[in-house]
Amino acid sequence: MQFFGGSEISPSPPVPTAAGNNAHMLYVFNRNGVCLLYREWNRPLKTLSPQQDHKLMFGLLFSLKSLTAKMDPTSADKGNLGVPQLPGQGCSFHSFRTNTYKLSFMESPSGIKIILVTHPRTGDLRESLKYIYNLYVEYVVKNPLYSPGNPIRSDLFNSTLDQYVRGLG
Amino acid sequence: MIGVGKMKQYTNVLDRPLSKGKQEVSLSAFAFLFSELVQYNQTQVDNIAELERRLEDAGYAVGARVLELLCHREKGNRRETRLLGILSFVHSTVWKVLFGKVADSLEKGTEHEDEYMISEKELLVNRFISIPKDMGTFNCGAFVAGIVRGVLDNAGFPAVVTAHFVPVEGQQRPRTTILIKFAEEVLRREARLG
Repeated sequence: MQFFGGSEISPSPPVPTAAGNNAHMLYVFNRNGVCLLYREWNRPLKTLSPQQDHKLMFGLLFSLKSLTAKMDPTSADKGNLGVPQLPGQGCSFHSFRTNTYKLSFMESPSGIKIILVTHPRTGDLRESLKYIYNLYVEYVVKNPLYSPGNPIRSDLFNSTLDQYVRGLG
Repeated sequence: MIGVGKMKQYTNVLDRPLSKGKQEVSLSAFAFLFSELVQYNQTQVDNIAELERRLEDAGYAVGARVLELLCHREKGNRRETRLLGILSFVHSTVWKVLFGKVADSLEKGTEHEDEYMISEKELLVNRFISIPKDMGTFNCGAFVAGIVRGVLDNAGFPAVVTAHFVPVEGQQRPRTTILIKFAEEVLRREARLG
């Protein structure tokens, strides 16, 4: 029996441009706002408790998505401000940058949001976020010992993720 | 009467040759199916040992059928009577048909005469599964252990088969070993056959 579709994780990971630990934090939320995973590698300043931090992050992204969709000059149909958008509807914002960090965001059609905070000179991370989503599908969704909607507690996923992020430019 | 005068359209289904079937299966489809099997059994049992036993029983049914099929297809209906013969059959033919590659290694146990081990760097069924700490020594490879037990039992070599994790230096994921412990009668018969 030959198994197809499993020989490499697709899409293949983007070539790492620089060595070293460049990512600061990673959040994974599901469509209900439950924080499935929070990893931090480099965060000198913490101002809020973890629950408040997660709620703030989720609220920020929800509002940003809503705002960018409403301000879209190319789309004709806008709906009312404040109405929650379905995943994939309207335009999707993918990153914002300040002078100290860059936040990259990706939302899957099933409502899984992946947020990666890195140093400000990082390039476009959309391919990397897609790869991380693929890791999530392989090691979390296919794991029978994980029930959807709960925080992720899989060593395999954490270690593969750490290894991949360490190679990001 | 209905059907009288019509030409017989197809031969008896038992006369048709066994087809080889499609040789390729989607890995994702298998992973999801196996995941659902484990989750379904989890809802029916109270403890880990019972869950492992259920997975093993599921594998036993697969093993029994695989033996019949392979004996017909690959070996031309020859029957293995020697211990080493059946072990190498499991190690190469069965593994090749089920997982697409032969098993990594087959070893004889050093402590006991009746123990043999088939090792694999990473079992296909365990590839996407990561066991949380509170489940202890639970191993979804119990399904594969059940398959091996099914093959051996129906070939006339009753044995107790279990799956274990063996940590390896320098490798993050432990190796999996299928431990086969043959019953007394098998060893006695083997000794008689010389």
